[in-house]
Amino acid sequence: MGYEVLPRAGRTVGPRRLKFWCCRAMLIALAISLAGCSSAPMNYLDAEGPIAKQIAELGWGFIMISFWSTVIVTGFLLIALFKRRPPQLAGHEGTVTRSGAGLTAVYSATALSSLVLLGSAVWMVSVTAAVIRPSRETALTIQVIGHQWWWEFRYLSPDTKQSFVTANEMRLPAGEPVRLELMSADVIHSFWLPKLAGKTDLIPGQKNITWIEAPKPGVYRGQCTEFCGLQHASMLLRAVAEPREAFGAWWKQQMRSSDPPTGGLAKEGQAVFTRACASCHAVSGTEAKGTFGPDLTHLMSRAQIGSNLLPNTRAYRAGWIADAPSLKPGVRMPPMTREISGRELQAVLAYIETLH
Amino acid sequence: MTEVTTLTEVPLPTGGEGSRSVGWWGVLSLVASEAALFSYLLFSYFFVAINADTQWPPTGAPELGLVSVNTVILLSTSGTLWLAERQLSGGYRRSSIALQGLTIALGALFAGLQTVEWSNKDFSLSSHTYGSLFFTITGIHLAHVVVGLLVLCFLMLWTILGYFDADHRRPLSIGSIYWHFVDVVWIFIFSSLYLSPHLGGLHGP
Amino acid sequence: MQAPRHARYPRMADVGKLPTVRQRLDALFEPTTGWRSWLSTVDHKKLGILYIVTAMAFLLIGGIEALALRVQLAYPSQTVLGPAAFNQIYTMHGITMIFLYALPILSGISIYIWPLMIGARDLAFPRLNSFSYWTYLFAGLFLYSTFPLGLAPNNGWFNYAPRSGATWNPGPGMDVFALGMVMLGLSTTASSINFVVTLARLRAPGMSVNRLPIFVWGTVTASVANIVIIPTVSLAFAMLWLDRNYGTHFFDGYGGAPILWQHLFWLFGHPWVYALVLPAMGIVSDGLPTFCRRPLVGYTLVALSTVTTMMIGFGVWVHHMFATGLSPMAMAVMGAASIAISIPSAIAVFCWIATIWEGRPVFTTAFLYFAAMIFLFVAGGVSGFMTAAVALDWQLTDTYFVVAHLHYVLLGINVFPVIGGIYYWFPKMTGRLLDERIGKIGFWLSFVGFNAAFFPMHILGLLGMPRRIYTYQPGFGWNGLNLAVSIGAAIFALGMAVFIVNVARSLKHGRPAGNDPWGSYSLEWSVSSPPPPYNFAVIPLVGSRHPLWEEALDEVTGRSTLDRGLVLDHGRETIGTTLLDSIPDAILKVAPETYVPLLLSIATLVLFVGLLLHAAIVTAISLVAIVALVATWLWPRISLAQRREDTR
Repeated sequence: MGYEVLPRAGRTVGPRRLKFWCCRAMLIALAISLAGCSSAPMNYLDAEGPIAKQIAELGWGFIMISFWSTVIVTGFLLIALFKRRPPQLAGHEGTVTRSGAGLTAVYSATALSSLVLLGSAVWMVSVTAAVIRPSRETALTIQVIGHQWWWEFRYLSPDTKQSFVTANEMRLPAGEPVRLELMSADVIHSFWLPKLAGKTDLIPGQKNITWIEAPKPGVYRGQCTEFCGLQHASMLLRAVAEPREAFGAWWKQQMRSSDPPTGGLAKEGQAVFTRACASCHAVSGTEAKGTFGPDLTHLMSRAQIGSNLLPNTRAYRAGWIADAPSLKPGVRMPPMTREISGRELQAVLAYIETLH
Repeated sequence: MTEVTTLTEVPLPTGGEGSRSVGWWGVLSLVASEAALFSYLLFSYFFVAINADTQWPPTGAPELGLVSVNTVILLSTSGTLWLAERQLSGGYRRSSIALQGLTIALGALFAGLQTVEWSNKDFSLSSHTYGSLFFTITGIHLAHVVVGLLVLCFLMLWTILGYFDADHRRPLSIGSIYWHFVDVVWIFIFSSLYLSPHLGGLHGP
Repeated sequence: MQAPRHARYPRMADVGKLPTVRQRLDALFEPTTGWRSWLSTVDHKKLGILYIVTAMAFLLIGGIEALALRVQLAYPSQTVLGPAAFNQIYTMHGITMIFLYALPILSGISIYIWPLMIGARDLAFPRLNSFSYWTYLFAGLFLYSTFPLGLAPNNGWFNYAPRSGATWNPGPGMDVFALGMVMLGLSTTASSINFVVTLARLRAPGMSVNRLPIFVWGTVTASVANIVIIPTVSLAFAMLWLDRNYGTHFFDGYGGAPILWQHLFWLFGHPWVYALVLPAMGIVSDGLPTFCRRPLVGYTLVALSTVTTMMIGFGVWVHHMFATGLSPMAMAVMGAASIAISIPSAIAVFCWIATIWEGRPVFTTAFLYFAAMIFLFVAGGVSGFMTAAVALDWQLTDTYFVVAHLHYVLLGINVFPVIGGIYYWFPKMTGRLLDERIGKIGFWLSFVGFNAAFFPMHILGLLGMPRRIYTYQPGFGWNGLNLAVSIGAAIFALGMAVFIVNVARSLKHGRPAGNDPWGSYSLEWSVSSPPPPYNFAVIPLVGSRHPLWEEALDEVTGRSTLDRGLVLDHGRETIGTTLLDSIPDAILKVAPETYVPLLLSIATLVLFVGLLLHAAIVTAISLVAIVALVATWLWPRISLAQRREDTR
């Protein structure tokens, strides 16, 4: 093959060991995610919903194809780099030759990879077709409306009187496919509950339809994934799936208007709320009808505030009303300490704590 | 005496006319880029038209009277410019200058009538997306016409100064490629913005 | 046909028999020296160096921005950077790396190396080359103009509407971005046209299309693409600017279509990423044979795969938009095309491995960078293959998985070959070799740091970490990996610092290189290092794909003559040849040095400043200046054979 007259080119051992080490590091790292870290609530390869499960199977398949392609090709690269070559005669180092063919191997490798790619494309299209529409009729439609930087949910019922609006905490009936209508009030957002399904964008002037199904009761974490401005990072999403009865009870409770406050402080608080908060927030059954911020009719039924950034405790509620931007810089809610006194703040707190 | 020989059997022109000159290739590349620009403009127009949920165009199909006359005027300039180039290559400099002048006059007439066409519209750039598209597309074309007229003016000046003859007319032939392009692209704009709304069907209800 | 009066027979001669030709050419091609010559120069070598230095400076700035982002993200809930600062810095990082580094660096290397590779004395339009450079520099400064004020663009390099509109993003940042992109587009279009016409006209006799170095194939493919895609992004940004300033409704939610922005942007954006890698793949295709001591295996395959990649690349833009609610059919077709595009890339990889396999690799620093690129290309390629799978992409998109993918691709296939290419061609440009020992230290730091920084990002993405978030809460399983990424980024930065130190040191103390330190094969190694201003004393005649290796390879196609060639010394001249076979058909004039391109770039900058500030008078004055300068530029000259000799 023309090698016999050429000495061996320079060789080092370091590179080989390092590359080997890199491959092992990749394997170990993959194994960690394979274990499906229980502490990773947004790990979609450890999926739960029927959509996400099918995608996860495709994902694992593609990861395996990718991993082994990389290993095999890198293996050939390493052999090519470090294989023993017949020694060269002194004085002929660096001589140029046209040795060997190599093209046959190139053609074979191309044919093989084309077959793998063709198979992958067919698999990809079939999974996409399988998850793009729900397998069963959907009984429930939820409109999801993205705002900078929170989520509005409109639960639609054929009987419009049964419809209601809530925010940030989404409830789902476990084991039922749900139809989602995705829209935006301002810029583009993206709806994502990774354990249940992939992303779909919320685009102003456009209504995107998708569907979702939570297989069993539990809390599912998610997040806005289309860059939407200052607090894109804190536009968190939380979905709670419940058995049908609990979900029905929640629906009934959400449909109710708020009860008028009874305590003195709470009554005073409602007056302050109507003056200072009602231009942005709504509480059904009262004069507060603002739509710029989340609907607060059943605020106390939610576990978190600030689009799921903070726990819904008295201290955080007070802090949020007083100075939300210090907790979530850039948030549209202004610091209310300019509008209301310390006593009025206590009163508003007392009032909103009646909003169960 | 073999150390000094030639490589070619015919003498080579310096610079070279037509496709031998770099300028010819340069302006063709520029025209390719500009053609892409106008196709993206028309892509945007049809994208918005197809996705419109109301009547398209919202103001009804545009009037064809004035713009049809104007189209004929613009297209005729390609003919006059082509003749001007032929005259120069035949050695008739004076008639070439006259034809170049006629081309410029007709081009300027097109630009003038185009502004009349604009003022006849009862919507503006900011009225609606159709208005934005209409004025942007015709405006970008008009800007190309103005640039083309400037180019033609300089070419005529240089012809008057006696820079060009049958062997030296590269700038004129290169410059006229650009002008022919400005004419041709108008046919596409005219068909898309003016004719296609009259065909109906494509543009929503 | 009768020959025109100004035609002549170019002489053939041995350069040794022409004792004064070098002095005459020197006087013609470099009449002035000193710092002023850098402003008026039209020499592709000077402009190439200006391009390379400027692009590397932007790489450094973008890298520092990246480190700032990694400091903020090293731990959860940090407040090193607030959301406003983070969004501006990540946006400027993207703009800098993608627009101000990745293509300009390849243009710079091409501008320097191309004429030397193809046997020409300059590019087809030397003055346009100068205009490209200055406009690129000014566009870069323009894009950075509001950064010191804390008002930089803050919407990502992709700049989705309607958050780029005046309603959701007031302030000057977006206007600067919009106008700066249009301005940069002028520069890129100009340089792309220059490459295409240079390829079409300026190759040495015998440098037929099947003998072109692959690097030339890569750049010309990218340039053809740029010529047709730059108008999309310029148009999109111009429309955005109209939306913001003159109340048009292209992309707002009121009758306009935010999704139209995405179509226009990605119609440009996806072909663009191929424009960022194909020339760099060409560097590897041309460098590997030198260090493997044998010709590239599958030259024709690699050349065709370059062109094929670009052609398929025009039809895959929708894969950036799988989550926007498009029709399933469009997604399936574009997804399948995105999978298919890996076939030409795979062919190139197989050819490179076969070249190493069949050759005898010499482990120089440049070779290490090229070999590492093959590994990084494969790793970045397979993650691209995963994101092409529509349903899977619904999960992967907008997570750190995509960040990992794009960095493997852009750093792996752009930065690694570029650094390797600089190790390879630095001796040609400066006459001195870079230090190999420091080079290898830099390489291993970069390679290990790179993988430590970007490999964990794949897993972060699979664990659901979204992109473009300025902070994250603990409890998602992302903490340790983020710290690893930040440490890796620091190691990578260290590797790059070692490279910069090596360059700075070797400029003065590097080993003298001689004409051909690597024993390479292409025409640029036949001239001195650095090359004389006129490149070739006589235009060589090319007889094969490897002009300097013909003896060793016993070429059957013919022998090149390097010391004997066409004498062109009636002014600044080079040879024009036919498109496919490179048969001489004209003597072309090379424009002389001039300040006009620089002045035109300044007038262009003033025009854009006028538009930004709505200063009508400034805009009008600059327009008049532009017309005057262009008229001066194009004014027919006898020295360029643009008009009759007998006119005054």
